Amino acid sequence: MASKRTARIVLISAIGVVLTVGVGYVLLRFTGLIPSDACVSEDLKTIPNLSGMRFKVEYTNCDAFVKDEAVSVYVARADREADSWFAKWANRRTLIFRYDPGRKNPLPSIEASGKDRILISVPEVSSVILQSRRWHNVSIEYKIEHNMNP
Amino acid sequence: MANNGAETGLDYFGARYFSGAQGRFTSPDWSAKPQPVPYARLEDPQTLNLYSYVRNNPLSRIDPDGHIDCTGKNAQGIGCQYIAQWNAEHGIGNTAKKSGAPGVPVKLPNGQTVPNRYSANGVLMAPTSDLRPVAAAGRAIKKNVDESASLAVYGGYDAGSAILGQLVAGLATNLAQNGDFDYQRATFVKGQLQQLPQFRDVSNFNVGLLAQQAGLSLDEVLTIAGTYALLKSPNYSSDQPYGLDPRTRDLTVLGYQTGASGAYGQ
Repeated sequence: MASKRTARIVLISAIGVVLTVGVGYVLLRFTGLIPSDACVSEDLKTIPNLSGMRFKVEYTNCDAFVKDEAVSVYVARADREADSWFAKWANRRTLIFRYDPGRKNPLPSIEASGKDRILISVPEVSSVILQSRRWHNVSIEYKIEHNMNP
Repeated sequence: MANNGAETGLDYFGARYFSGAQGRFTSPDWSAKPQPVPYARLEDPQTLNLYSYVRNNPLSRIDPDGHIDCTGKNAQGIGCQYIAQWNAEHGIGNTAKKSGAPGVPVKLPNGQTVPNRYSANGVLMAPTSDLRPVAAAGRAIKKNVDESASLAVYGGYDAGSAILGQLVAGLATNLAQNGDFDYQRATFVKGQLQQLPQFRDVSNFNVGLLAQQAGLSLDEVLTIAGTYALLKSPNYSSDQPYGLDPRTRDLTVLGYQTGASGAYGQ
């Protein structure tokens, strides 16, 4: 009996928290304090099929009081048809590399460097935000010629 | 000039800000009504609304350097004219997503440029070389805040919320997206944003400079910046101090330190 009551209290509390956070978020969005358009993104490059993988390079520039920018590399399987909602979800893209560009902003190059091996090269970055070394059974190598903030 | 914003009147800022010596960087409307920082009134929540406030108040929309909202009469601002001219010379329509206008080196009041290791030519670049309006806007925020604090002392009430409101509105109006000193966005045609990412560094420099002149501590500036980045930017760097990537942090700190050095007055 006590456990039922505890579960009910926990459930009601959880709903309360979710509602409070949700209403707060909507309010902040509505008043513009959390604007939805802080960032501008553009696709820089798509490699439809490289060793069975689809790569997309995306640039995102954000205005969140201070201003930041990043180049992101996403990967998904190239050979999967994504008709259903589930298939699309199962083959959703994965972020593997994100960096703040350096003094110049050339596109990163992506190439297959062997069986189940990918090499991502970029001449210069200001800093690396995210760097995955593996995606499923594929190992990802990086060649960053100059990292300004290693 | 008195060095403390609390000891100087807005008219003085206006006089200095809009003096003949700086006329090249001054818009007539700004000069006629020197009110660079709008007031936030907590009894009217819309005054804290970052976007509606900026967009509904024509005074706040006048960008003295014309870098941001380049529509209407703001198109005559020196920054807008610079970018528009560069665009025209390079065949870029004002409705294009990007402009590559490289800008001009920022010059401190003593004539020195500002070193920037993230810039291809080694110095901080901006649509205009003169950042005195940024510092002046910061001091105007400080003046408003100081006045509220003084009134609270005399009136015997707590002015905390009013001060906070003025800070939030002042920072948002000047520095947030489409703020007057956010140089990395321009709207030549209403509703069509043009990106100017080459002015990211000076925009972050402006954040530090204006906030320092407004009386915030460096820790407060970086904490606010990191909090906004956490809320709004996918580029948030969780493993970095304040969640800010080094380049963003470096330029914000550089702007703050430049302000603290007295380069733009105190």
